[in-house]
Amino acid sequence: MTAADSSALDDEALISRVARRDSSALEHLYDRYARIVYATALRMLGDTELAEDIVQETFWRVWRRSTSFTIGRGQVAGWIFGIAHNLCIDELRRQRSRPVTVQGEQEEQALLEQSDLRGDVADAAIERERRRIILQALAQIPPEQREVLELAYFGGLSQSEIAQRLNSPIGTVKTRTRLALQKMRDLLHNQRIGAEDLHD
Amino acid sequence: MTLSNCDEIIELIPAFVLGALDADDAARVATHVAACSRCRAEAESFRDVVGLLPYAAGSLEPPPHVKRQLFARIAAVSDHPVTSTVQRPQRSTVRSPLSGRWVVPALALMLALIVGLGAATFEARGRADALAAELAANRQTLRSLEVQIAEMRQAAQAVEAQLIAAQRELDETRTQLAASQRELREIQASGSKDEQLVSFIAAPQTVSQLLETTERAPEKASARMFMQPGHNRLVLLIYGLKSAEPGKVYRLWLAKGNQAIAIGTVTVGPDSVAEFVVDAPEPMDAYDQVMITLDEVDTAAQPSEEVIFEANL
Repeated sequence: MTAADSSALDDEALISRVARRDSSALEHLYDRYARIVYATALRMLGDTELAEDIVQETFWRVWRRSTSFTIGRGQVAGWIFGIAHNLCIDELRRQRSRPVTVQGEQEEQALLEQSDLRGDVADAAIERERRRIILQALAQIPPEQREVLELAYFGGLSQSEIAQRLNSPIGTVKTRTRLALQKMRDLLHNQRIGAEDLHD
Repeated sequence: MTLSNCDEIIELIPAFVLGALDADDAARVATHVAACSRCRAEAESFRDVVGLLPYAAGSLEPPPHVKRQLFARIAAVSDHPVTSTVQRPQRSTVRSPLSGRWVVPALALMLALIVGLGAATFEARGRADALAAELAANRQTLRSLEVQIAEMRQAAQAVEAQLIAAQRELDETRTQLAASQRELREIQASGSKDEQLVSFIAAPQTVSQLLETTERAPEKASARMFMQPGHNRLVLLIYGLKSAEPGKVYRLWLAKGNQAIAIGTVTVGPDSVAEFVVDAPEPMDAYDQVMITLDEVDTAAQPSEEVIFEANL
């Protein structure tokens, strides 16, 4: 199968090919998700060189661990993002002494404006749609819940660290975290956006 | 899995899928979720939401070298030919200055360089992190050593101060010891003198004579003289005499005919007692008279009129 052929495959088919050592399949996954991984790493780490390293290491691990990915147990994109997110958290925890870069809504808007949707047109459309959905859902949860979500996911902070940073009781942070994710899940469900819709 | 465990774990699942749990809690939840279908389903439903969060960060194209290095790295370890488009050399329409036989080695060299650079970049970052951590640890050690040195200097200064104080105390003790030794010598000398005095007075050949008091002598004052015929030594014991006024002294005179000879000055102690031992220029038999006068300090040529004790020998 040529690279052009494989570009039409869904994520699960691509990861199966990667497991069979088809680097062109990995290249298509890279083209599909490297931009998101890079933007996320940049947002979490605030350093382009580190973000580049995270991108390379994430897809290197996808290549090395593709055989461990179980079809039907979660989504490929979520798996890739999870690898990248864990690498970012490891990096953040290595730099404990350095301030964590957490961008606010204005910066979020700035990120939106600097979005680069080059690449495959279909992939870009899907990417844009997923971004619209998540931003819309985030906009509908209370700001204090969104803040906790932001600090946990993009700040890489533990709940006790969030409580310390916000000067709030740990119980409040736990409640806000749980309510935020439950609300997001309900919102996405009400929009009939299931896992299949979201991840090919 | 008990219900209470599930209730407890479900509370932690949102933070778990966000990666916001501490390592211990995360391990506990992971173990539970792997064994509990209900909690696993709950975690999966949240993972779908968390899987979308990266899209909120936007979309940015990584620099092209990231992809090149990635696939160079994969090619370096792969047993199979890498089919990625980034590894596929684009045949240039411009003829390469390298001849055909050099193209393959040159490409291999370039590939090796790319692979090397790619791997080296990540390794270098890891190495840089390790060196930075080592540097931070060394700085910490240095700060710790500096603190220890400061504490040791402080301790050394305290010890030095103690040493100086001890040295001062030792000097004082030495001074006291010297004074005590001096006092002891004086006591020993005094003891020896007293011993000699007693020995002289108690000797069978010693004769004593009470001196007569004049009207100038204090009431109850007395003086007794001890001597041995044919010997020069004279011992005088005086009681009830006050110390001489400033500028004056008690002086002992021995007279032979009309000639009086000043033998010495007599010092009265605080207890109004004076002991005087002297060796006269000639044996005591040679003298006719003895007297004790109260004289001016600097007039020792002639006895003054102020005679306190006197006796004919």
